[in-house]
Amino acid sequence: MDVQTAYDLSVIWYQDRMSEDWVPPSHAEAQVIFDRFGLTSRFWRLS
Amino acid sequence: MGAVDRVVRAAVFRLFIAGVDGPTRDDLAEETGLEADEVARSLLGLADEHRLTLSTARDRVVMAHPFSGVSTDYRSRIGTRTWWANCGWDAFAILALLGDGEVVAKSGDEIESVWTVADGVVTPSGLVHFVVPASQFWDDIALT
Repeated sequence: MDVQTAYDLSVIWYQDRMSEDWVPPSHAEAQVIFDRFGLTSRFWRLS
Repeated sequence: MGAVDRVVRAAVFRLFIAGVDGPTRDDLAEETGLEADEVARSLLGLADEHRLTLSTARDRVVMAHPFSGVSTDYRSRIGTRTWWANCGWDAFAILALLGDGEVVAKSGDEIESVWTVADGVVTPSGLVHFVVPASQFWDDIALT
């Protein structure tokens, strides 16, 4: 993964993570985020 | 996660951000106003849910992504403040959370690489290498 993608993915992946109200994403929701950044290979499949 | 877990988890992040490298049960009790035993139970539950990782003695947080409570090869730096990250991705994630700065990746005592994030743009180009497939991240999170 290139470093810009790592940063851009983090902006979405970790948004609201510090909040008490943060709800962990489901596998399906996390997969949508990976897909959005082109992480669509078998390596990035969560289930 | 119950209400106490939410309070404790958020306090873990507050303390990491404030510069506490690996908040202890007692740090968290002081931060939250909860009893130490209550914090200890919550930490065990949060660890079981993979929200964080505890020390062998289970009384100190050593990993709360993206922060690391132990020194690693990856640091995020904003001005004079630095944070240990669990991996290359996490080093960029800390900056994504806290603001522009630098990622420093070390190999032994030698500085290997430095990346700068300014207005969300990372320079120079480079790669973050993952060795464990996403579905297996938590099989051995320290390896991941």
